[in-house]
Amino acid sequence: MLLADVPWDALFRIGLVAGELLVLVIFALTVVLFRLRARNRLRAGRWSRLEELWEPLLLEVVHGDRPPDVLQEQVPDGEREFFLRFLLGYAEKLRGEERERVKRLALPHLEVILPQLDRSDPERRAVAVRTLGALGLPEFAPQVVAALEDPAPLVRFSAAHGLLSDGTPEHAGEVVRRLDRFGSWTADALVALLSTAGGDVAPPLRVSLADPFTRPDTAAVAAHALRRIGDPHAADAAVTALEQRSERAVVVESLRLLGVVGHAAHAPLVRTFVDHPDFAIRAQAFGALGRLGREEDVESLVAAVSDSSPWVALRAARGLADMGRTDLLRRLGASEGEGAAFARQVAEETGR
Amino acid sequence: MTIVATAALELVNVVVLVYFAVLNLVYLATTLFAFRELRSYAQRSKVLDAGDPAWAIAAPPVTVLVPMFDEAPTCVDTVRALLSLLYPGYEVVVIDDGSTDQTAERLMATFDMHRSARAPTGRLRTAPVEAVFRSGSHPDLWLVRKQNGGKADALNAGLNYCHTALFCSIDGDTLVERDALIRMVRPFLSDGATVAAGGVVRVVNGCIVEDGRVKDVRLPRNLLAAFQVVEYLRAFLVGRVGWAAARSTLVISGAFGMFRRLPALAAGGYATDTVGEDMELVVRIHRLMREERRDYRVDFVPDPVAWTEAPESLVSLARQRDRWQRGLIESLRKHRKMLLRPRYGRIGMVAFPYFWFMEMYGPVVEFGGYLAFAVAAVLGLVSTAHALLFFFLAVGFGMALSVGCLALEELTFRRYSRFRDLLALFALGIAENVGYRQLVTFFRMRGTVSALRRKTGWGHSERAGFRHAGPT
Repeated sequence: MLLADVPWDALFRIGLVAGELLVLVIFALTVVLFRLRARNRLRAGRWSRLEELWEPLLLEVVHGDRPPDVLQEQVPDGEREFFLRFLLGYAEKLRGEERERVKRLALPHLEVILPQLDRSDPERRAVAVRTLGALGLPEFAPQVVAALEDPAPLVRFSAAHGLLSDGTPEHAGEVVRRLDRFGSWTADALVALLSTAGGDVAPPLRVSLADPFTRPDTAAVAAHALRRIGDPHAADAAVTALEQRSERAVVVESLRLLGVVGHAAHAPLVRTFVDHPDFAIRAQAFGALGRLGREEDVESLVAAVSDSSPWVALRAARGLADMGRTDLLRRLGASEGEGAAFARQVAEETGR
Repeated sequence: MTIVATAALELVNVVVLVYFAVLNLVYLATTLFAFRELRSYAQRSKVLDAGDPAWAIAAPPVTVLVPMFDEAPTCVDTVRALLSLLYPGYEVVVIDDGSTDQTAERLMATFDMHRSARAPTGRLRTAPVEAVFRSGSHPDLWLVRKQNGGKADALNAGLNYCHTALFCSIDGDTLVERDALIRMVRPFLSDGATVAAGGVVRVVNGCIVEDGRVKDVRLPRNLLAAFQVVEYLRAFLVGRVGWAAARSTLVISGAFGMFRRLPALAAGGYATDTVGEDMELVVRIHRLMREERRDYRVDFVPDPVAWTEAPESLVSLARQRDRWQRGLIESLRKHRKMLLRPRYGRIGMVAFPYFWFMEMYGPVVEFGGYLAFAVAAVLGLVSTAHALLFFFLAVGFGMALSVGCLALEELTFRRYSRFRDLLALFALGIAENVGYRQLVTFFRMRGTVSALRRKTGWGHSERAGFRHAGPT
């Protein structure tokens, strides 16, 4: 009965209509496909010719051998955006006066991308912000700083990237103040971003780390970034964080930071973490102790090579290597004990 | 008898029509999602340029795991390509799963490998590891020799020696592009909740390979491999991208995928009781994360590319598709608890049901449809007009999908730069619907039967090796 109710004739008519539409769709897609190919070939050819024309001129202008006008005259009106993309690739790799010359070349053309800051599409806004951040500072700083408050994390990240690459302490401070607004971006990405600012970003990061009210993930990023920069003045901030905070990420990163920029006077504080129940904290404590500790710490490092966590064992073994105790490592490696494999691995690494 | 036969055939008709309508609606949806996602991705790539030095600083260390079994013709090229990746901190760990040919010997000789100490950090159970070697010429290259235990077992052994938070699994016959890792790591940087990401796999047959890199992208001369070029484009550019855009990625190709080590270990590593260990791990990660109510993301990155050898003989293709279908069925049946369960979100309510009803039963329905048509024709019950219309629609949708996929490729990555290759792809996209598609359906049917018979094992895969520019 159910099958008899199936309206086969109606379905057949629908099928016919669908068939006709399908023919149109296939035809339309075919046209789109080959037009796209034609457009891409023409565009690629045009851009390739422009790049061949611009590149030698750009190098001469950047080196100061020729005035900027000689290149500006070769930029057709309709290709200003492409010219900006072309310059972007160079600006991000250059520093100092050469970068400034590239930025001066871009300045007359940047107005072309300003309307994109108001696009509803966050990716397009981010591209515009990236361009302004790399080529338009300080003239377009207000627009880029404003982009730090954009609802889209990608745009905020793009703005931060531009401001930090510019190397201005004031801009670095603007970014660090808003570190907690970067949504889901990982610590690695944020640290990389902060690292591009070099030493200028260290003071606000120290403040952020030492402030007990800074969000834990932000404080951890600050510690990580300070370690990456190798800020020699960050030890005090790390000590403050370790004394006042207990969040895992903050403690781990502060211990790592202390291991790099700390000194022997910090060893007693580090020792208080070697028995921590969290393996990640123990691991970093032993890692730091390897650099900051003394002979009295050798015994606890040796014991830690047999820790139930492989990460603690590895760090402890590397700590012994940092202390120059490869003799102990070889002895441990030759034994049948729990940590023998880790000791052997690190002894071999040290011997290479 | 005729009434019964007619009723049965009509029932099959209805089932096939419903399957056909749902399948093509899903394809349409994934195509639209893919189109939107690829456009967005192209813009994001301008912001997050892989060549930006900041990414080199941001990129966390990665361990590349490469299980190999009898890969002697391609192993050196594969490893050479992996050693020249543009990525700041990574190790390559090749796991030789008890090869019976010269795979390990070739690697040891070519890369000056010596026995070395490397402590395992994981405790996944695997077949015994015989020795660990390290390259004297490339200190970031390791070789783990173990007794044969299967691909999943080899990957688990590699995981046990993984020292980094991220690992990337790559097949032993796959060539990875130099910037593939730096592109693949982006979702792990932009979203800390990302636990796994897949990349595009393309067909290397016909391409010119030099020093482990694809120098010139060309279509294969072998017709079977050429059909697979279109198939892979559709599967990855439309299928994977579309599902990822809908936050419903259920499959990451074992040929090229990146994972966070901890969730993979928490899920128990790769399952050794299935030939679809790549899909099964992803499904299990979904299950674990949702059962633990953890915020997570499984992503797909459309432009890091891995090149793989496609089968060029019917026998090899049959074995491959049989295995893929078995792997699919084993993975789905193992986790059938997730089917249509709201607890598992859109995975349980959308992706899983699609794969269960359309991909798992799809070959049965399609093959059943062909069989029913043949029976109906013999019994004189076929309406010529209806049959022709249905045949036209079925082939037409397939063509539309293929041409749409080529248009997406033209909009985004444009790997096949020769106009004659584009024409050939266009022709193949049309021709595959009459013959090739039916052949693959038959092979998948066999896979379904194999799964029901609980057949195990990978079968033998022929390796022709990569085509080089000059004498090797």
